Amino acid sequence: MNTTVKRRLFVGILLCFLISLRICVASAAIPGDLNNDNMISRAELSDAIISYMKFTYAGESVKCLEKDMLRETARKHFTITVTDLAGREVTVPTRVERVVLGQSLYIQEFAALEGENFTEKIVGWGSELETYDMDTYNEYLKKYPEIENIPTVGSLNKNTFDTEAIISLNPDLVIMPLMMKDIAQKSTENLENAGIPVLFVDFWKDPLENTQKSILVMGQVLGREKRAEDISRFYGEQMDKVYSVLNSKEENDTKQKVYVEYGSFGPSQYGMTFSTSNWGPMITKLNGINIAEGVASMAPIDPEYLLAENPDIIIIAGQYWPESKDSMILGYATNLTESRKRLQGFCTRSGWNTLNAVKNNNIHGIHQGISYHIYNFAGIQALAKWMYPEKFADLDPEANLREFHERYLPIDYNGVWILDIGEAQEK
Amino acid sequence: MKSANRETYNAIIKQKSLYLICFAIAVFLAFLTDIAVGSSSLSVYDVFSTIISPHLNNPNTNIIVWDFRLPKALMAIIVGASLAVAGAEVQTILDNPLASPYTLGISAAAGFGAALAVVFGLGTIPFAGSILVSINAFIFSFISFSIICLIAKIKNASKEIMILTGVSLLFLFQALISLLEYLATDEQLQKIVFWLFGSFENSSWSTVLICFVIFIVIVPLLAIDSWKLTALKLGDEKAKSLGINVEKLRLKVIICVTILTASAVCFVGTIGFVGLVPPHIARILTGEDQRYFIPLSALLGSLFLSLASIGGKIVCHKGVFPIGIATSMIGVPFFLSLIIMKRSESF
Amino acid sequence: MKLEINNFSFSYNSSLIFNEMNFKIESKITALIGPNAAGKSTLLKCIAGVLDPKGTIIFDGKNVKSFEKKDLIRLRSYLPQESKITGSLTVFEILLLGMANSLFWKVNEADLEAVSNVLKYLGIEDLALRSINELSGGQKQMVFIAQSLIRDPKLLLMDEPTNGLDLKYQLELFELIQKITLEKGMTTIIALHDLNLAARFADNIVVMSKGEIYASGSPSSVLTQKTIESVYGINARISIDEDGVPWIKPINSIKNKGSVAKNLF
Repeated sequence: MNTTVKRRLFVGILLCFLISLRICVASAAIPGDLNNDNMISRAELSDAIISYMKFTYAGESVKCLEKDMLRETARKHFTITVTDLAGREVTVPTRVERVVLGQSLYIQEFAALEGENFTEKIVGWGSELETYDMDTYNEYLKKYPEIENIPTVGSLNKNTFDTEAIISLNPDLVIMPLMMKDIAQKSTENLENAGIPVLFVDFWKDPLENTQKSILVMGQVLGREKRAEDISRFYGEQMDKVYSVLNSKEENDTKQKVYVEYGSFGPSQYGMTFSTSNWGPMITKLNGINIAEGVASMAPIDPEYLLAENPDIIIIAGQYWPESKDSMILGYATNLTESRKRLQGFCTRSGWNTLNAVKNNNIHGIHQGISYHIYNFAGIQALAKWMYPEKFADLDPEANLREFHERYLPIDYNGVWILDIGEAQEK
Repeated sequence: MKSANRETYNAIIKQKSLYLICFAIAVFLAFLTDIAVGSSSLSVYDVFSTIISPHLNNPNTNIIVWDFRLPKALMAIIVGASLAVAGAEVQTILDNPLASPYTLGISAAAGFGAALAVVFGLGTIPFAGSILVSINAFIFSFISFSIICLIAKIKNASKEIMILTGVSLLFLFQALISLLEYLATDEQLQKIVFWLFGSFENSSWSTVLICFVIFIVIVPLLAIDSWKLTALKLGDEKAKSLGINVEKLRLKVIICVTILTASAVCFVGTIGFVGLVPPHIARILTGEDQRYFIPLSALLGSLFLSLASIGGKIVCHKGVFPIGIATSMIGVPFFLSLIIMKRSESF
Repeated sequence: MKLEINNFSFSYNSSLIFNEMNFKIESKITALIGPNAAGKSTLLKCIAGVLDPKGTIIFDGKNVKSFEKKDLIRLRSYLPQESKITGSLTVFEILLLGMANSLFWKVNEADLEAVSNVLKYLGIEDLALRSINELSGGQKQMVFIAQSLIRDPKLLLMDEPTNGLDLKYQLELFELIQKITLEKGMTTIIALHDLNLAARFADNIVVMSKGEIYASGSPSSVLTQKTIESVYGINARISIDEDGVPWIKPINSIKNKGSVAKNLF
């Protein structure tokens, strides 16, 4: 083969490659989108319908879309526009049928809105559920074995978010956490360029402000407005149980000192604290003193400082970490005895027997997930009850969490989510 | 009547002895400061009265001083001394100013052992979490040391071979640590990262005891051979002709260095620069005479780590400042200024 | 003292350097000469205990292996070709290091006196507190010789001690070696390149070539035209000066078939 032939062969292959690329790119676009603006105008819809009619009923041999494609075109025309939690205008089809949960932890919120058949709409999700919330995953798996087959698209946290995989799933909507907006910037751009709308909701960054707004906007895009309003009202009522009492309290109440720790390391090593995230703002909202305020974000506290501050209330935030046999286990996959035992383990830390909180049995456990889910009202209620026991003597956060499960979630309330240390333990 | 030789000799050692005394005092003062400083607002009077008469004070203060400040301050002293002596001896036997337990990969191996325990082994024994990490760190230090020795034996124990092996192990273990970090869950990752930064949070009277015993056993073993180690400066051939078994000496020193490093690192994590900067300064001050070089390295190491600990406590009031970061931030400018200022012969 | 070597063999990295070598040395100053790679340095190192050869070495009728280690160390002293000191040491400390194997932590009076005596003997007391790296080549060499003498050895082994020294120092060094050897009754073996220095100062010359002893004897008997031709591959004119010492004047190198390079290296 001489040089000229080789050159021509190369150019030919290159051209074929470019053409196929064009075709692929073109096929990612919406069927019937003639001007390639990722939207279907009324004119484009009319054109598509008329062509179809002509072909199907008038026997004319015109180029037209297949029925499935036409359906897509129609769906993409009938859209609604909402404002998401990032202040963005997001346009989605009125019948959203294919959703990718950018963070699979949203299974709770999604299931709350969609109900028993919620798995039908999920075409893909992030890998967080299995990583961080194994017990929730297992609980859902029992009733919905099909979730095992839901494709995972990587994780924003670990920088393995696979935009390409999402695009190939052809979703109508991707729901992303507001917390990750900056990290996800490139991914968001790519998705939108491919015609896939991205909706930011927030249960984590500013839960007290954004929870209701988030569930409402999710309800809007999923066509579950009524259900969302229901949930939002329930949430509001729960929060009111605390706020109404709190706002009427006297100003000269002594402020309670609270220490919250992420109990992932167990007693042998101090876990991270929450100064401006999760529990921190909740404590502040309830007029408490968060002794970890000022500690670097997510860093552990200096044990000496803890002893010196001598907090009134100690809370160990727990979750499901199966490899760590003395971590604070809470959630679906535990029982009262085991969780209590773990909590008591923390009291054996050096110097903790001198702490007021330990002496007064004012040590509690709470599920970390409560701080970033739709049911964070249980968190505020639990904190309020521990900080102001007389004022909230009738409040039962756990019962309210159970009620939320019964009313809105397709799985049962199980395990231990909010924990008191119980009677005095042996020293 | 002092002979002329005694006078000449004294002229040589006088300044060295003076340095030892001065820095011993400095270390003591740093130790006292380290105990007096902390995140709780105890007054200096409270602190020292608790030490002198513990039962008279309130139990909270007692615990803070006896369970937190004293063990941590003591660990700073002992670990600083251990790492500095280890660094001093590695630099001696390998005749290389960049050599330290770190550049030989011993610290990285310990870090890998710790990470391994965190990712795979941790939690198999309840409440023994941090002990398993320490044990693993110790074991892996020895694995890296064994590899170095094995290769040295095969290739005849030249200094260059040992250094090259050590550096390769350093990169290998660092890569393996990165791999474990990639595989780890977020909680495990946090734990590994905290361990790699180094901290005194695991200090207790038992760790103090263990490190102290190891130190006072190993260092005299090294000190006995002070003159032989100094003689290594004359070159391997000359040293051999003086009757020194150079290979055996190197092997013995590496074993001692590994034990010292491993014991320090397995409780406090990887702390850099303590094996590099203090020995350099010690060498500038006392020259090569190992009878003074070893103790002064130890003192400077203790001083360095105590000051870093105090600095960390001042900078980070409520939280825990990773000590490895503090030593690097102090160590690098020091090291650079050494390089700029020093006479060439000291290298 | 008498040095005897029997059935001496040494291999380095699987290449044989000596094979079944035998010789005796009794005289005071012996010069070891030969072209590069003849094995001079290696031989010295073997006798000095730096390398471990096969065969027997006998000092004064007693096998080396039957000596106590500390006696053996006292007995022989070795000055390698290159003495590069890393790090700064004072001359005094360097001399102390000559006794490194037997020094205790605390330096006692006897040790200090030994140092002081050697310094006096060589007349370099003023250098005692100087750092070794500050000294000139000649002064450094003096210090190393002092270090070698500090244990009062009976056998002194030197590998090309005059390398890099100027003419004055070369002569002074040899005069010093003669003085030491005589006054202390030592046996000195010196590896040398300079044939004329060897001829002038050595009592006995051992010629080595390719790992073997080519010839051994008094300078005039060994340094012949024939020897130089076969060992070095050069034509030389030998004349005897007024002291009866042979004087070698190289004329030209002998061109064999491709053997010029071979003889050079």
